[in-house]
Amino acid sequence: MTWSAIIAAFLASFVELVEALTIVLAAATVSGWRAALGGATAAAGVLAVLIAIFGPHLARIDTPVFHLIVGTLLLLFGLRWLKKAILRSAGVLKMHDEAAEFTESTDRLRSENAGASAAALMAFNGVLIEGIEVVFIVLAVGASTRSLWPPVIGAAAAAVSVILLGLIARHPLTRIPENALKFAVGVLISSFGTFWVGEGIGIAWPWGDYSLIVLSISYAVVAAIGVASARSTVRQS
Amino acid sequence: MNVIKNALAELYSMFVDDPFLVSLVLIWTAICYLGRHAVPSNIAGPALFLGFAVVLAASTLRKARSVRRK
Repeated sequence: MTWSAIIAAFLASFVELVEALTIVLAAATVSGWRAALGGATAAAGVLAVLIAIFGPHLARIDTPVFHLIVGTLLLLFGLRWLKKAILRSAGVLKMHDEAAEFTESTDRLRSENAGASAAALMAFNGVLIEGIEVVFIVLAVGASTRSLWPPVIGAAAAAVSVILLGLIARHPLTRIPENALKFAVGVLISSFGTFWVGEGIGIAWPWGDYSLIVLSISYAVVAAIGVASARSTVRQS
Repeated sequence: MNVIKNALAELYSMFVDDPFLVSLVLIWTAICYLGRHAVPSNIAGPALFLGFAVVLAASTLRKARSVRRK
């Protein structure tokens, strides 16, 4: 379970932080790196404080009701991602476009004649909003594995990777297969959620923690069928 | 104030993006909880998963049909 927690947290955080990077780059392009990094660092500080405050307490709670609540939240979060990834793969929804997001953000700042403080606020907002999902994943996966370290390691590795890629590329990371990553995250988080809902209502999983692997494979198969069905539904029009 | 409002809106939409999906997940969870003693333990887990898989499929196809109609 530790490895699946690290992988789930890494992939989910990577996707969210790529989106945050686009906003920070837009702010930096219009108003300079100082303002953008100031806003981004402040938001990262707020997110780290949230994890430090809630994480240790949540990882210690071990009651069926708590498993049920955490499992349900993970499941709702995972199914939402998986559904979006299926619909994007099937061509029902448009793929997320980091380049368009970057252009829209820089245009907005330029049209408002925004100064350094507005750019810093945009970077702060962007990192905070995208980071909230990272905080949720870290806290919920940490609670379900009863240890905060695996998801924290995954999220930290994702942050370092995105920052390094951003420093090298200096433009939005458009080549990242974002939908494939969302697909994988949706599968993993839905599996975690289903497992913990089961634990919460007193179901004994046939293969213990290894049931997570079976659940992941099963969700991946259901999602693949979902892509084909959604595609044929749209083509009938 | 706007920052807090945006953060809360994001937090809400993380889970309640599609009320249809949320309702079905909660209903199926409640059914499984109430029927947990009536079902043999070796099929309770697979049944729980199957229900959620059907919910995912129903919600996805519902969205695909609504996009087709537009």
